[in-house]
Order: sequence, then C-alpha cells, then structure tokens
Amino acid sequence: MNRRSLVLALLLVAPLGCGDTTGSQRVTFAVEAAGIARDATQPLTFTTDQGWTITLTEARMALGPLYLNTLRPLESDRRSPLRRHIEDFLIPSAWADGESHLGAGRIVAQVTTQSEIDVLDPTLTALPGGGDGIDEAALTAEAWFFNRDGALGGAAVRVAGTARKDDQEIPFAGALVIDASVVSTGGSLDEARKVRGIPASVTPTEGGALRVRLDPRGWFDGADFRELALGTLRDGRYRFTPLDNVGRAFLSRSRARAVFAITFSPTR
Amino acid sequence: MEASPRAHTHLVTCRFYRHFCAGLLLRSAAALGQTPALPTTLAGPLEAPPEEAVVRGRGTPPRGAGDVNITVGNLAQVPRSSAGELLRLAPGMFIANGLGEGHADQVFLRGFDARSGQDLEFSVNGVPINEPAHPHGQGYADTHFLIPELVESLRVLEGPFDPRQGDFAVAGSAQYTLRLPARGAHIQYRGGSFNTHRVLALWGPDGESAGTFGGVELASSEGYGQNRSYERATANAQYEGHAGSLTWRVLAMSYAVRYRSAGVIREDDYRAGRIGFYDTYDSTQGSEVSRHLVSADLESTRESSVLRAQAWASLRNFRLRENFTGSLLDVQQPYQSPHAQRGDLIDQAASTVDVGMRASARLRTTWQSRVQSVEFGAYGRHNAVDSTQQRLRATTDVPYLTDYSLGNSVSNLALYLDAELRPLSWLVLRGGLRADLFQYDILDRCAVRGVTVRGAPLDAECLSADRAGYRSPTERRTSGGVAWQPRGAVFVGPWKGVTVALSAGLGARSADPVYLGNDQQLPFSPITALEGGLVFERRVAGLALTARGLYYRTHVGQDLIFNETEGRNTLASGTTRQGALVAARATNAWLDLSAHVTYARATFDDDGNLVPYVPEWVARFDGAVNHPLPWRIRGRAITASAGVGITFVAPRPLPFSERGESIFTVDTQVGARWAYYELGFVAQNLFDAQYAWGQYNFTSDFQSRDYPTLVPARHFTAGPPRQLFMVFTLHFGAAAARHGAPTEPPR
Repeated sequence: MNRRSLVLALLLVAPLGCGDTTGSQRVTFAVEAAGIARDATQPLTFTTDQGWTITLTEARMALGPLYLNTLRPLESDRRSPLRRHIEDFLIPSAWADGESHLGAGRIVAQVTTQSEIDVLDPTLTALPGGGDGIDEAALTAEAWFFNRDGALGGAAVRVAGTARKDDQEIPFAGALVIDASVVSTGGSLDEARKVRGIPASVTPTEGGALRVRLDPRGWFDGADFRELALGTLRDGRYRFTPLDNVGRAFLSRSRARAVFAITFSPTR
Repeated sequence: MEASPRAHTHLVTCRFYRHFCAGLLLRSAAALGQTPALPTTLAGPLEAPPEEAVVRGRGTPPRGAGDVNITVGNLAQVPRSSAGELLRLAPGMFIANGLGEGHADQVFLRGFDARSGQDLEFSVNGVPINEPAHPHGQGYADTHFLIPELVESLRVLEGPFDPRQGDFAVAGSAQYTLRLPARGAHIQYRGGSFNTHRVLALWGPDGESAGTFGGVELASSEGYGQNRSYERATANAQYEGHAGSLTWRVLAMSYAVRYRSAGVIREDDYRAGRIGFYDTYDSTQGSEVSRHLVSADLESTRESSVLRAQAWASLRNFRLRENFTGSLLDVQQPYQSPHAQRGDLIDQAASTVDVGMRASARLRTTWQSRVQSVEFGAYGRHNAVDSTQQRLRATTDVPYLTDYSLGNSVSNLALYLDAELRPLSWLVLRGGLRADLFQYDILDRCAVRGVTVRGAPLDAECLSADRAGYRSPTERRTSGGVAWQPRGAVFVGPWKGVTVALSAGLGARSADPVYLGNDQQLPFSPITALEGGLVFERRVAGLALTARGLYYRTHVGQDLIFNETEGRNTLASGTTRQGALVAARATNAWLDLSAHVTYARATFDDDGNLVPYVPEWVARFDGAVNHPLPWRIRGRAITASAGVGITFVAPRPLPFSERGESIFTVDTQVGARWAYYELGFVAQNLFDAQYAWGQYNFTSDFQSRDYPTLVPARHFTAGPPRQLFMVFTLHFGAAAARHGAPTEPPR
C-alpha cells in the first residue's frame, strides 16, 4: 500500500471514531454533614407539638451508609375531596408491589462509610471516604441506621437534654439502638434500619459535594415526658426506652424523613 | 516425483474449489516436497474442470472479502489452549475466556460482543453447535469438545452473505473442519504451570484418508488462581469412506468437563488489597458439562452435480453456578417471609436433545466455457431443551428461588436457493434466497411467581392462583414465523491479483424463548449487513500472499447486551456496527505469517451511544517457522519449529462512558523433532502481563465493605498469567519412520 492509499484509508476510517460515550458517567464527590444552620453559641431549644420545650445538651447520630435513589418521594394527596372521589371512582388506585410501598427504585449514588455527627454543631464537616455514583438525577435518599461504638456507645442515635413544660423540668437521656426491639411484626431488621424516601432532588457531579443537615427538632413530637418522671433518676437523668411513650416517639421520629435535609453543590 | 493417489484427490478437488483448498495444496505440496501452489483467486476457477475431474471436499466458494478459509498449517506451532482460540486467525476476531476452562469462549467480532456465541454461527464438520434456548444465553456455543490438533481448517465468513448460513449468523459463521493429515499415531504429554497435565492420543490409520481419525484427550489443572481447577475428557473420531463418486463419513464425539470458576472481582476491592487479582469471592461457582454427538453424511460428486445429505443427533447436559453481583438482588419482597440477603448465586441447568439434518443438490453446467451452478438446500433442526434457573443461598448451595423452569421445543426449518453465475470472464455473481421458519413450543412450569396473591402462603413459588383465583401453575406458549433472507455477492476481477468484492445480505437470530409471548409472530431479530472490499492474492518473493481490506456495516433489529443480574445477555434496542479491517497472510513450505487489524464502531440506534464491551481496535499477529536444521543424528535430520502469537485489544468502552484497560499478550512455542520424538516448550503470556479478559461496570455487593455497595463499580475477570509448559510427543507409523530420513524430500 503506497502512502496515498494509506492516507485515504485513514481518512475513511477516522470519521467513524467520533463520539465516545456509552451514556452517563461515574462520579466521586465529597460528603459533608452537620446539624441545622444556627448560632452555635446558643443552646438548641425547640418546642414539641405537645408543648414541651426541649433543650438538647447532646445529640449524636451515626450517619451512613447513605444512598441516592431515582425513586420519587411520596407526596400527600393535594386534590380536592370531590376531585379525588371522582378520579378514584373512574380510575381506581393500583396496588403496589416491591420493597414496601415505595418500590425498589435504582440507586445512583452512595456513601458507604459511617461517621459520627454532632447534630448540635452547625459547621459542615467532611466525611472520610466521600461518595461515589453516576451522574443521574436522584429524587430521594435513603439513610440506613447501624449502631456505632465510641461516643455513641453501641447506638445509632444518642440524645440528652431537658424537657420543660409548665413548672415541670425533666432531664432525660436515651438512644436509638437498632436491634430486634425496633422490628415491627412481620418486618425485618433490614427494613427497620432504613429511612427511605427522603426528598433529595440532586444530581451528583464529579468533584461536587453532597451536604446533609440533620434536624433534631422533631425527634420528640408526640412524646409526653411526664411518664419519665415516674421512673428513677440515673446520673441525674431519666432514661427513656422503647417501652415508654418517649422512647416510642423517639424511635419513630428520629427515623423520620424530615430529620434529613440533603442538597448537592457542584463545587466543594 | 509421483503424487500419491490421496494427494491427487486433493489437487483435483482443489481445481474446483481452489480458494478453500489453497491450504490443502500447500500442505499436500509440502508433504510431497513440491513448491506450494498459489492460492487462487476469490472469483474461483474461470474455466470448466476437465471431464475426468473427481471433486471431493466441503469447501464453498467465497461470499465476500471477509470470507476466509484458514488452513491451520504451520500456524499450529502458535500456542493455543483450545479450538476456540483458532478463531483468532480470522480478521477482527478476539476470543476471551475468564469464566472457566470449560465455559464457552466469549467471542468479539467486527463490533459484536457475541458473548458465548449468540452472534456467530458455529459448526463442526457441518453439525451446528450453537444452542437455541440455552439458559446461559441464546446461541450458547461451546467448542471445548473439539480437540484442537484435529482442526485442519476453519472457514470464517464474516456477515450473513451465504444462503447456507443459518441461525445465529449475525456477525458471521465459523465452520470447523476436522481432519488429521499427519497419519500414524501420536501420543503427547503436556505438563507445566499450576499442576497442569494433558495427555493426548491421535490416530490416523495409514491407507485411510485424512478424514479418518481418532483422538482422545485427558486434561486436568489446578488453574491459575483460586477456584479455577478443571478435569476434562474428550474423544473425537470420524471414519471417511469412498466408493466411486460417493464419500461418506461417520463422526462421533464425546466430551465431559468439570470446572471451577473464579467469577468477577471488583476493581476497588483489588486496589484496596481486600482481594487478590486471581482470587474469587465465591468458591461455589463452577460448572459440569457433557456432550455426546453422532453425525453421518453422504456426498455424491459427479461431473454435473454434487449431492449432499447429513444427519446428526446430540445429547447435552449443562449446569453452571455463577455469581456476578454478590448479595445484591435478594431484596425483601412483600410475598416473602423476612430475610436478609441470601446471595445471588445463579444455578442454571439444561438438558438438551438435538437432532437435525441438512441436504443439498448443486447442479452445474457450462455456458460460454464458464461453469454456472445452482444449489437447492434444506435444513432442519429440533432442540428439546429442559432448562431451569434458580438462586442458591450463599455457601450452602440450597435453592431459595426459582427464576424460571421451562420445557422448550425449538424447531428451525430452512430452505434455500443459491446460484453461482459467471456472465463474463471477470464477473462472478453468487447468492440466493434463504427462508427460515422458527417454531417454538414453550411450557412454562412456573408461570406465576413474584406477585402478591391474596391468601397465598409466604415464599410460595410457581403459584396455582392469581388475583382472579385458582389457575394452573403451568402455562404453554407457542410462537412461530418465517424469516426471508436474500443474500448475494459480486466479484469483479481479478486484475493483477486484485479482486473487488461487494456483499449484502439479511440474516436472522432466533429469539430467546424467555422473552417470547404467546403467538408472537416474528420470533427472531432481523439483521442487515453490507460489505465491500479488495482482496489481493499472488505469489510474491516465493511466498503465497493473500491480503484484504474491507468496509462493513451491520444493523441488528433487536440486540442482546450483557446483563449482570441474569449472568447473560438480555434484550436491548437496535444497534448498528460499521468499521474496516485489513489482513494479510504469507505462506511457504516452512514459513507462515498472518496479521490483521480491525476497527469497529457499534452504536445504539435510539441514542447513538456506544455499545459497551465491544473492542474498537483488535490486532493479531501469528507467525511460525518449521524447518530442518543442518545437523543430523544417526542420519536423521532434526526439524526445528517456533511459533509466536501476539494479541492487542484496545481499551473497550464500558458503561458510564468509561474505557477498560488494553490487552497485550505474547505467546510463544519452540520445539524440535527428531525421528519419532518431538519436544517443545510453550510460554503463554510470555511477559506475564496482568490483564483482564472481561471488564464490566455494574452494581454488585460482595460484602467486602462494612455496608452494602449499590452503585456501579468496575469489575473484571482475570486473564491468565505467564504459564510455562513442556510438551513431549511420540510419533508412530510409516510417516514417522521416514521423518528426517535422507530419503525424505527436503522441506
């Protein structure tokens, strides 16, 4: 083959090589977590729906693993009652299969390390290991609770503070421990540890940062702390457990979707 | 020197099908000490054969610039582990096998990732090898039951351009021809790295044709890493008889293998030191396979006609356990009692009865002193396949879920008409029409699964109820359709050894029964292929030289792409491939050089994205010398031989817009023969390159981290490291007695 033929052959083949994608891309990103943004010099105080004013002195959470899912979050039905009745009569709702009522979805990003987060600290802290995934849009996040040693003492969430209402002041402490006690009838431990459907409309990009803020202000909604006062003080605090109403409320509310606020910044 | 009657038969045969027989001529001539004849033109003979010609042989005239008849010849000196690896001699072909010694090779050809054979029609002495309705993938084609030393030639027709090509000829066809030209008995031992042992005995009785042979093989190895051991036994035998114009053959084959498979490794785990490159996550992966096959064929060759008829039957058993995803897929479902992940180990099993026939009549006449011919042919095949796929609990191998349980009956009947017309001395037209009828009868023994049925017990499989109430747990689906496939090729020339070849054709791949609905009308995927190129054939500087360059384009209506959750290829949208290749081979009596480079670009029709896993650039070089040394011992010459094979595969596109690693390996062999004795040394992967046969991006969770990993990650199957072997062969028989003797003609 002479030089002219070689050049001709290369020119024929060269255009075929344009475009080099098979679709989306794998990405890695930083992960930062903290409590809600606030003045850190002041104690975190809030009032529950039962009228108790809570001041937290300790709030720690074992954060991770976290997953971003393409699954759409559950939304409340905002239709008018008349419209809802008509539409449901004409097009009955379907039953859903899959993992619980949410369906399985598809995971597009993950954080597979666990870190201890001081929920009272509003300063974002980078989590070691970061996250990875693909650059596809996620609509929800999943937080899976696992117990952690160290300051959390074998719990997934540990909390302490004071509850005040009227003239009553009740110092309390307690923890969320993921074990058989949190499994509902017919459920599994794997299901019990997952908080799914957390709204998180984010698209991971290479070099960006996933930011997680943890809000404890709803942890004691529904709790009546007077039940704790019927018990005994240990180390100056009443301890709640899954057997009392405060422990049951905490068990549920500390795993609520509203605890997590998830955003993504394209830059760190 | 007088040619032997057998050699004469070859030479006369080759007057008719010169292209097919180019290698035979070389081999026969070399054996007779003659200068090898030139390979002849693509266009074939331009004149009618002499009236006394006796034509025998299975060769067919070429159908395109990408139609290559490869005689292994001296390139047998290049180390190969299996008959499948001979495919590397074909332009654009890349073979990989990282999933176990008895696992079907993964075949890449001209932009197709044919996985275990779905896109390449395999046949051995006319018997089809691809397995319809196979649980490991439609068209699964395992060639490990072939003893590679018995493969005399291989025709690779790239593209569906010949009406004789049947089901699975999407990227093309590979037709193995088994013969044993080296008469006498040959006993070989091969041993070396990783406690590998192989004993081979071949026998070609003197006085019989090369089509009469027997071969047995026993092999075992601990394998090149964790969980890669195997034990294998193979027997291939054929008798070829002649009576006047009639040639008949009876072929029998038996094969069984048990092998372990290491499966895939996550690259992040390997990089972090959590697992070794040649390790495994799951040592329960492996397979047991057996195949037993008989075939009989008749061929009547007369001046004006060639009649052929063949029938075969085979029994196959297959069981494979593999795990691509670790513990990912067993998520809690509402109809299951609470459970943790039980593991994704897939257990596939199939038992197959395969019977079939083919027959053809080619009629020839002479017009304007040029041979014109027409052929009518029929093909019929029936596969009864009982297949299941279950999921097994990790480490205990206890099944916990049935994915499917099918009783498949797949029939494929085809009729074709093929003509070869030579209207002008420089113009040849070949082509015709093929019609394939595919018929499916599928008994789904587990038609209701994975749904919530009110009142059904938890964890129930193959339910006898659905939401409407009671129903039978089984369901039958039937389907069928006809694929009409015109195919043709035009050859213009040759001028100064150059022939222009243009080919076009439609092909079809039968549908996977797993995806078939009841009464589906077109149970196959249509394929459209075009090819144009130049072929140069001449003797240059004492070498018989063949060179070719071509452009190709292939469109597949519904493609099959690898799916890790199923451990096989599953249905995808339409795809288009195009590219180009150049290839050359130069041969004389003692030297054989072959090289090819191929570019392929495969894209999805819907979004234009690249089809993952398909290598864009593949290059291969094979070289061999086989020559007497100037020294003699006890009057006998020592013959030295050497071979080298070099493979290069450019980084493959992977899902998520990534590229894999390139592959570059060098295999060598050196040896010497004196009289009855032959000693050789083999080095495979000479430079000990650490490379991955297969590279994938998908989601898995092998529980190598503290928490589940649920996003795509890079995985690989490890290619073998450097392996060293010693090969010792004893030759017996009349030919061995003459080897190297002064009376033997110089090579």
